[in-house]
Amino acid sequence: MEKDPLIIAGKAYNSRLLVGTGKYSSEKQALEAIKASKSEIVTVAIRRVEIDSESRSDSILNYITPEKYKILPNTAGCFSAKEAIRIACLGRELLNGENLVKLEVLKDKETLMPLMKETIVAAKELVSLDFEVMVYCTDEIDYATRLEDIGCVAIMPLASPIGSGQGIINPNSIKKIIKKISCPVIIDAGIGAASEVSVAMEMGCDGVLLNTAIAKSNNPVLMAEAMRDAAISGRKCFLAGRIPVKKTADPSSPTKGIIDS
Amino acid sequence: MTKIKILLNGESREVPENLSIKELFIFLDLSEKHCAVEINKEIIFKTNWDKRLLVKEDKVEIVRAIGGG
Repeated sequence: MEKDPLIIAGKAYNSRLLVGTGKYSSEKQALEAIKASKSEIVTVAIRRVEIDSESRSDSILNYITPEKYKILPNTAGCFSAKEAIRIACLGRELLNGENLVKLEVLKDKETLMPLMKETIVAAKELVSLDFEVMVYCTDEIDYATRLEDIGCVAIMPLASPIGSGQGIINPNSIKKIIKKISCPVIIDAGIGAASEVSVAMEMGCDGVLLNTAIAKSNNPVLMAEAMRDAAISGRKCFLAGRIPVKKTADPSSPTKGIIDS
Repeated sequence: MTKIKILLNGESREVPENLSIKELFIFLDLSEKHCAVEINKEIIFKTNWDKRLLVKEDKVEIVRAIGGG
């Protein structure tokens, strides 16, 4: 197959699978699974350092290094534009000025649904501060269009609630976004199984971002491989162009030349 | 040595007076690598860590990256 890179903010990536680094049982497990996923973009969260040295954990960047991976700091845990902007700025500072950020502003701790009004306020401000904003959003086309107009570099609608593993519960809305939006559309959140990654890619999504589906599976390395293959497979299917669905059967073998009974 | 009280990552701490941010890291036995610092909600760029001295009641946040989705 010819090269088919995913281009985000002018930079080309070979992998269309983006992965999170949370919820793993150990650093070693996270590193092995992320390696197996062949992902190039990995998300991290920004949190306070533990001041007491006994309870202190290492920065994840010591083993998932910015030299090997494109680190995508998120604004997870923010419930207002103000908080998200603050976290994005801290993330950029600790990554020595890297402008890529995953913006998420959440409505509440229970549903973890995006709070779109605040997301738009934050996106505007971050774009004006030269951030390259990959934005977690609802599947509503009007918001997706608005976010692209603001200058976000990737639109990332959820397939279903964060960490739920419900898969793609809104295929028609996602398809509408894909049709209308010119920048990459990346499914972010809700994926549970490899087949769902394939379905997303077959629809024409430019990529899939997931975390829990790998980290909380019984065998994260094996699941990472499954997700990696599913993204490749789904993308190939999309590029090849699937056949239209017919209401009736259509024989695969020629009807001419069948011997008489 | 005179000590001052600051709010460090949400907790009240006593630190020596005239401590720079760079020295604060040494004081806490904390590696500077991949950290960001904010004082009173303003980011202090790494290039200024040796210049900015802590003063009484500064609200200091030290953050780093951890696993997340």
